Amino acid sequence: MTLESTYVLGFLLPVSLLAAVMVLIFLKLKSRDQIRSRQRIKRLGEQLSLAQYQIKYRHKGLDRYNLLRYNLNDSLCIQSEIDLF
Amino acid sequence: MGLNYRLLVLVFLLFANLSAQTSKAKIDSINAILVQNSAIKTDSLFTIFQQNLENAQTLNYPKGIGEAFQKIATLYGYEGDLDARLEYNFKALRIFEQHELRMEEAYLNAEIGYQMKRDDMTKAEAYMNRGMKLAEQEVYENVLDRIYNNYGVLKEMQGQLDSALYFYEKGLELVKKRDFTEGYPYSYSNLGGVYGQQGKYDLARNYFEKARQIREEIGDQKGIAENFTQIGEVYLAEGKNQEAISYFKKAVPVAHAQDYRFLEQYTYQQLSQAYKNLRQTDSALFYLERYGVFKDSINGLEVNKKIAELNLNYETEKKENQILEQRAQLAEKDLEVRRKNAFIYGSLALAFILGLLGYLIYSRQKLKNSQLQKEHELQVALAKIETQNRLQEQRLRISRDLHDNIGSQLTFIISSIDNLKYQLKDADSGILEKLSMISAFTSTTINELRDTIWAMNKEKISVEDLQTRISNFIERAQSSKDSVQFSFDFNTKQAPDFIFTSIEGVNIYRVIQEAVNNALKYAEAQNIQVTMQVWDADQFKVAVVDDGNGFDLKNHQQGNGLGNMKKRVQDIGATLQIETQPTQGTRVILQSK
Repeated sequence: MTLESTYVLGFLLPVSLLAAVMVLIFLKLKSRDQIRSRQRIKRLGEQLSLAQYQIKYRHKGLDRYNLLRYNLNDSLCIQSEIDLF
Repeated sequence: MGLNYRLLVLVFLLFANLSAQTSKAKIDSINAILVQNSAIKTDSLFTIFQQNLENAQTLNYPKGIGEAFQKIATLYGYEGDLDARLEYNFKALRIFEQHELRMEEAYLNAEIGYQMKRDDMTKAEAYMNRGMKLAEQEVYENVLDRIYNNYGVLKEMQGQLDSALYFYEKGLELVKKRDFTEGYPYSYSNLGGVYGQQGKYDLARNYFEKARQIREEIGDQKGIAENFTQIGEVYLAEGKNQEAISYFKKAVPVAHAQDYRFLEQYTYQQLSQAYKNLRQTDSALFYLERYGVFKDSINGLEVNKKIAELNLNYETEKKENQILEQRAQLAEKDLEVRRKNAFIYGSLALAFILGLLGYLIYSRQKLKNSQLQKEHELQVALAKIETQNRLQEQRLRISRDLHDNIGSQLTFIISSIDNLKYQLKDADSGILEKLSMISAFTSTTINELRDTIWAMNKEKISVEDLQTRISNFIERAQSSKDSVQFSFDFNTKQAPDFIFTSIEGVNIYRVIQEAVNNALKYAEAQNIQVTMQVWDADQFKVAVVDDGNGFDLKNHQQGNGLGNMKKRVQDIGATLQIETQPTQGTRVILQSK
């Protein structure tokens, strides 16, 4: 091994080490971000699903209205879980 | 003829002999030139003696050849070329020995011995003794004075001052005996030298001065220069440096003019010493350097050696310094290169680290942005849907309250009318009919209220839903009237995703319902055909066609049924067309504008 290559290696090693540490830190941070984001998306998805379910539920009730029988009471399904204010 | 020829040859030989004799005399006279006394420059002397040597060789004149070699050797001695001097002396010696020229041989042996005194004293004494014995045996007084003088020099150099004085005195006696003017200065100079060494400075200066005066008379410039130097040396030995310097400075130009290099060099050395004694180092150094110029001079050999040694040391030191300087420069360059490399590598490393850091930050930010955008989209969608949900729910609750309140009140009115009718059962039939109408109207109002509330909440109704509801109605009608043939055609191929507003849907449904009920109730139709067609741009067309009795539209008193239909069609912004004639059936066509 020449002096020059040792010299270069002397630079290369700490730089590589620093780069590796940086990459690891950023991978860790990205992983944490992804987990948090997934959690938030999951929670939003659940809320969205609930809202969609509520729409479906309401529509299902409205679909029950028979134009010959005028059964409006059967079709107007109140959802207590929807906070109006 | 023969006599004449012999005479001619004889004359020629005589002439040739005379001519040769003349030439030899000339060669001898040239060889007799004293180099020491000559005012001629050394270079010129070289040419003269070389020419003389050639002439002697041409004449095959051994004495002339040998003496010419000897003279050239002496000149080389003045030039400081010792090897050449020895070589030419030996050439001369071989010539003298071969031709048994004893006197010349004796003198040359002594001369060689004298010349070797500084290099090898033992050999010098051997040659000197050999020459002296030869000269004493044959009593060659012409050369013995010089041999004694020279032998005295050898003794003097060995510190044998009394012996030296003895030989110098013997030499001086012979000079006086021969009255050899050129010999005096040598003897006087030699005696002066010895007295000087014995501390008899005045006596020494006296002898040197005598020698100088004679030399002035005979024009021996080299000798004069020597005497100046010798007098200076005496003063130097006495510690009279200024006086010594003045004599040395007299000697230098004369020696230089005579190209007497050895003496010039030696005098410079003495000058340097004198100035050194006076502690005038600049001048001392100056003359020492001048002295150093003559490093090849024979008598300055030791000094030259020292100078050479010093020079060598100096050169070595200089070279070492140069090497050290070069090494330092190399080390500095190397350091510079290392610094540059370190800067380049450092910059590259920094750039790489910054680049990597930038990429990692960018990558993380990009991912974050993507995640945030996704979350934002979801949040927006959720906010929208939740807002919509809240609005819908609010509307639904209001609708329910409305239905519950108004519906119950209308029901109460119907109930009240029914009670009133019961209580007034005996009343006028017109009143009862009016009460029945009010009850029916209230009931219709309740149903319309329910339809309106439903339509308000439902908002939209798909073409399929409407198709299903109409089909159900037709089926129910069919089941209630088996004798009537119903058909229902629904063409949605051009717009399968057609959407009606709920108001449109309800009103279309009610119009169909009214038309079918009319056909069943009043027209006694056998076939009732319901068709519905939808296409682009919210265009639809509904037709209810029966083959019943029909009626005269112009003369027909418009009841609630037709009026309701027209009102409903008007509400949805469509057109209603009724085509009928008595016994020709009826066509009710509802079409979007």
